[in-house]
Amino acid sequence: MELDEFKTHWNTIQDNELQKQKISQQKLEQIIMNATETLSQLQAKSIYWKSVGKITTRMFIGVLTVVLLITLIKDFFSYNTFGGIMLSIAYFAVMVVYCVVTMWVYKKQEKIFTIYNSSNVKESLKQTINAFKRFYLMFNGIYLVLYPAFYYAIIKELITYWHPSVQTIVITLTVVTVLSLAGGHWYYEVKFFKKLRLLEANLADLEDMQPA
Amino acid sequence: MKEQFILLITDNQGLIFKVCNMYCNSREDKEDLFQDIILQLWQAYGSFKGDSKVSTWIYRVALNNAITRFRKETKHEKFSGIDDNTFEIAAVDSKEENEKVNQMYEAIKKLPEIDRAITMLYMDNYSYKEIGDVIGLSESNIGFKLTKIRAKLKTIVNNG
Repeated sequence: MELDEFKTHWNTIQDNELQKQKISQQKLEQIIMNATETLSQLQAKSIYWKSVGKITTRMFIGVLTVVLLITLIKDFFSYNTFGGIMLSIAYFAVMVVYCVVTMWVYKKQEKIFTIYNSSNVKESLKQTINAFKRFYLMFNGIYLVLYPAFYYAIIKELITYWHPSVQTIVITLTVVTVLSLAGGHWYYEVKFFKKLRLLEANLADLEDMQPA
Repeated sequence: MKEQFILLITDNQGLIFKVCNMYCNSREDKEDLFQDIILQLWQAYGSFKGDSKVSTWIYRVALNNAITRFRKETKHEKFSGIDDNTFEIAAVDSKEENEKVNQMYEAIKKLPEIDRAITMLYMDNYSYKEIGDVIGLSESNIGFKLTKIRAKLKTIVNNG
């Protein structure tokens, strides 16, 4: 069967499919209501890891707040210097910044695939691919700085019984930072890069055409 | 504005289902994509200025969504790749003819994503210029693409 012959059956097939799938105006209204009122909720629900990341981060901030309070009270009663207390607050701030950045990354990563929908397909593909690559480079750049600071704060604030030398700290921070970045890259490789390669193949398919 | 939008979607839901059927295998995924497309259309509705046909605008948003969206592949899809409704399409009375129609429909679904979009718009009687506007190619390139698609379909059908 040729494509043009199939074309004569196209409308019948689509009518049959529509009869099977057609949804009522009431159901449509419900979907649109969901769209306006719980858009972010719907998006979050569809991606398991996003929720896990959010819950974990919130729990972590909660635990950190408790730890900070205990540290501050301890510092206060053990007549620690004002500088010591300020240092504790600084470490806490680093951990909070890390959590906020992580939440932002989780939120942003899947949204990128659906924000450029009003242009033509070729333009949307270009914008989506570029935005994802920019985002990937940017957050890895941020984590390159943030991971060592975060882990240093963890060592100083939460593993107080450990007193390593400067050299040991530098080596430890380098190793955990490299491991974290490699782990992140592996996660993206599994989760997003397959999709990215498919988008790139689609774009290449369109760009292969000579402008006429 | 909401009432207008609901009316618009009610009138054009067949078009959205076409995209869902063409890009999804499971019923669950079709429903997800349908909802995603409605969300995207609703978000973009305010900025739609009417400089193209409503159906063209819906196609553009729906196809962009279907092609670029990030979705988790289910185990069922990963291992089977079989459509829930594959053999339910009855377009004609003759069994042999119906089989051919099914074969062709399945072959179209096996095309690369961009080719599928072009084929679908062509089936819906869009002009080469309109297809080009949605996809981002010139009219002559769409003609060239369709020639290649016809050849690809022949190969897919012949190879079963």
